[in-house]
Amino acid sequence: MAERWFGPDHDEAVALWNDIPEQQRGQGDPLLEEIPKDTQTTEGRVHSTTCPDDDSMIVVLNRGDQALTFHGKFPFMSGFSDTVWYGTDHFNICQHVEGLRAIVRYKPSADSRYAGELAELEFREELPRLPAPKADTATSK
Amino acid sequence: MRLAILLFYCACAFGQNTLPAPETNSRTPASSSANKPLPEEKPWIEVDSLHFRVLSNGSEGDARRVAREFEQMRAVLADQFPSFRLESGAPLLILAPRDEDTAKKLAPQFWKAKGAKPAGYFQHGWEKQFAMVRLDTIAPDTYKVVYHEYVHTVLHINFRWLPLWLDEGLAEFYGNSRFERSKILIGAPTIRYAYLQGRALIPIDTLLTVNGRSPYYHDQDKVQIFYGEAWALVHFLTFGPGMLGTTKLTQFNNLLQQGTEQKKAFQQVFGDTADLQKKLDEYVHHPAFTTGVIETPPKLDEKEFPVRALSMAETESQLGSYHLWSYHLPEARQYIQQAVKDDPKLGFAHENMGFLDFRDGKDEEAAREFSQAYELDNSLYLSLFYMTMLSGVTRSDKPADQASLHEHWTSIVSLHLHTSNSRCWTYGKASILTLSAWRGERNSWSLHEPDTTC
Repeated sequence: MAERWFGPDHDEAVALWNDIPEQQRGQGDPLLEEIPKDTQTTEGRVHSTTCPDDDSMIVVLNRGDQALTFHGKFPFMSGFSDTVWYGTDHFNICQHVEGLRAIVRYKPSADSRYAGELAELEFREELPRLPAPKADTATSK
Repeated sequence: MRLAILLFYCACAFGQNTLPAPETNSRTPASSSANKPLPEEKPWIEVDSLHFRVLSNGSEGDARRVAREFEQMRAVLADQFPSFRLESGAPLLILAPRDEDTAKKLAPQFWKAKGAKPAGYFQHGWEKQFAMVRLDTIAPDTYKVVYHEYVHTVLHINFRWLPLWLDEGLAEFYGNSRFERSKILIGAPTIRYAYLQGRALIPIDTLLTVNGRSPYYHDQDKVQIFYGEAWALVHFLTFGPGMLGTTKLTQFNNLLQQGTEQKKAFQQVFGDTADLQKKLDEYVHHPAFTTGVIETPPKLDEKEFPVRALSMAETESQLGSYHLWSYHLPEARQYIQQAVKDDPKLGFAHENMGFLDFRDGKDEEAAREFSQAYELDNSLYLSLFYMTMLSGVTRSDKPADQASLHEHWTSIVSLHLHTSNSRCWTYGKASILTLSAWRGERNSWSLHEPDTTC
């Protein structure tokens, strides 16, 4: 996926890849996320999104104890996990995204009301984790 | 390869200065026309062929012809790829407007831009797909853009991934199929072939790596060369000397699907790319191209396709649904509201109203509409799916709720299979496989393996 796609799909695949222990990843060049120039990255859980008009949106992200507010002017790159249940036919970055994990690429804002100006917004679902293999407690004789 | 061969002289493709409007998946939101009154419509007709549904405000004969041509296109793919799944989980609805005025109402975005207006276009989706083909532009090659996209749909339900040159090359190759009364011609030159004349080809090593971000896929001039060359390479790898029809191309694709790196797979099957480059250069400058012929196309009597007149509310609902999936929300709202008003007992109208509410973030209203839709018409699997997913039961860990959830999902898949007239498990999100994945119910995966016999 990471080699074949770009944007948020690429980045999500890279994140999955990086979850694999390094010694199990095999040979090859390391995979890197595609980060827009001059941007910073943060992530958290979406508290709210507001789309006051057709041109812009405001995203409030919960990051630990902090609430970070970002302002975005369309168009900017956005994407979402394919596992979001209502899928691409009905996905709308202004609705139904509360609680999703979001990766925000932003440029610091001159406006003190905002933590930054959105350059890219990626919504991801937490994927089910495979249970860790149980330690072998059998004793050999 | 079950094909006879003939030579197709391609003089027709030389010297053309105009090309059809670029293909599009039409996902660009259209601007608002919320205050315009609902266009006056008369009820449309519906033609049901074996695998396609055509809605039209044109003549019954023309609508039947469109259905037959799509059946023929499908027959080409069935002939060439006997092991392929041909039915997508997202049903395809073909809209056949009688004239430019109707087409403009369906796809106003194309009429806001300068240049040639499309004779047809295709809109991909996860839940529904639409094709628009105008009845007032009947000529050879009129619908090739639509067939090109239809080929993509079939390719994408059979392969997890194809390199862009192969995806576009195959779509261009088969999308240009020509239908004659007693035979079907495969491999006729694409009109984009003209762009290869007098220009250097893209090096094959570069062509193999072109992706959605490449300038070869975006720059107005380069993209035409890319499409032309992708077509030419697929043509050469099918009909070129020593290519054994589709045998080698199939070998190459099998390696790709097994995870072999593309360049390695390419060299393994076709040999050195520098050598192939020389052969391709010579090949594209031939004055004639080999074309495959299916001598015995399936006998289709379009007069046997059932036809019925839709009610006014059904017409409004179908057009509303199309506009909803096309992101023409003001138009969708007008049609759907009128449909509910005209026939409050029409389940499909309520389903569409549910989607409008869902898009507006009015989840409670949406759930009510989906519930009402399913009560009125228990074949509406999308209503049952959305009604289920919007209910609290999805967030409950109680065994009774989980059992109920599983029962609903099973019904959804069963309804979907029945409605799409397909024996195959679908890859849409209405499949138990995906739904189980969504819930993390890994243990149930093995119970619902896809049927690979279709």
